[in-house]
Amino acid sequence: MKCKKCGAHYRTRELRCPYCGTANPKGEQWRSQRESAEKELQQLEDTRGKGLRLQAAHKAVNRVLLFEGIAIAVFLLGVFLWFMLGDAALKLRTRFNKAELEQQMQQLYSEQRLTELNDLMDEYGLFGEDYYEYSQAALLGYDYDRFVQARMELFAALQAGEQPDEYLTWQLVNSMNDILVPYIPAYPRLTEQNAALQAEFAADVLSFAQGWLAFDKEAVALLHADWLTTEQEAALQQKILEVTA
Amino acid sequence: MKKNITRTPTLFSLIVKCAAAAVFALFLFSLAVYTVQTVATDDFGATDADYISWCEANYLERDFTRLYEELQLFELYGEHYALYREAAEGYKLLTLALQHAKSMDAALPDAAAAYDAVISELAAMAEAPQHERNAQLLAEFLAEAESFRPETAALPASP
Repeated sequence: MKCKKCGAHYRTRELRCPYCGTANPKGEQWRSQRESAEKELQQLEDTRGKGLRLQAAHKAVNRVLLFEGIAIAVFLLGVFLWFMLGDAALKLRTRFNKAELEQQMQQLYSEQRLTELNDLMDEYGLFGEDYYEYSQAALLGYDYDRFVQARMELFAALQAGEQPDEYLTWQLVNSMNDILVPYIPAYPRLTEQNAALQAEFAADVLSFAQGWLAFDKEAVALLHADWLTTEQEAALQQKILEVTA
Repeated sequence: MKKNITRTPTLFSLIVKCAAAAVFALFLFSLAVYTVQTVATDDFGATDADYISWCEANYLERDFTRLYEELQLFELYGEHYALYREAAEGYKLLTLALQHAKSMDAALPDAAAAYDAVISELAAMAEAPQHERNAQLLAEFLAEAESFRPETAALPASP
């Protein structure tokens, strides 16, 4: 542009004439516009940068979520397959060894190894109407074994000079009642052989109650209750504590 | 009319996602811990050697009640456990002997016969133990069971 004072030519963006020093209003204007544009540009870049960082963070979290989702899905699938395959394998094993298993059950039952019978039937899922007598005997045996264990614990406690604790006395009362009044809803009708078995167990329990625990007629009658109330249980437990004091 | 809406990622949605990721991570962690614990405490974890070691400890401590309980609970059968089963069985007969002795004391019918039957069974076990290591133990059980006989000695500290 041309200086109004000296007529020299210079660039419009100059703030003053480089020859005579006269102020250049267009240069001022240009400079302020440039500063404003630079400021705007800086703001834009800042905003974009923040957005980009946020986007990157979202992307990373999305990946983590995807990974976690896959891991959970794989775990659930694994558990499902584990149970399905395990169950299928057990059914196959039971089917192929049916004759052998039945022979084993028969042997265990005839030898009155009822805990083993119970474990075997439990392992192969053999409980049910097909094996009514064995199932019933196994459950009777399970109750009787609880009683035997409780009796052994009582013996050990007395030998150690200790009083039986509340749980032990409850176990004794409860297991004696379960044997005297068997409650097996799945197999309610006692078979002839199992009735004899139950009578044998009941005789043992009565000998224990009347001999060792010195239970009187009233206490023995309580043990035969279909359903022992908490108070009745507590009364019998108290009797055991008194007798073993 | 279909609008072209672009969702701008916000800080709030990021926080929500982070929270969800943390919850899932915690869930996965607990699943992993649970799985490891299950495998470690299940049959995969405890081997015959572990069971034998537990049984042996109870046997040496003469805690036959616990021995019997563990044999039943963990379904331990077979030759590895025959020694412990025999000892636990002997102890069971000992308790039964005391029971029948007390029944005799209470003048219950058939108590003497039942007591004699238990003593005979224990004597047979003590005479020909399946495991030589149990010989001394079974002899002790037999002597103790015989001491319960009402005519020969006073009963131990219970009625």
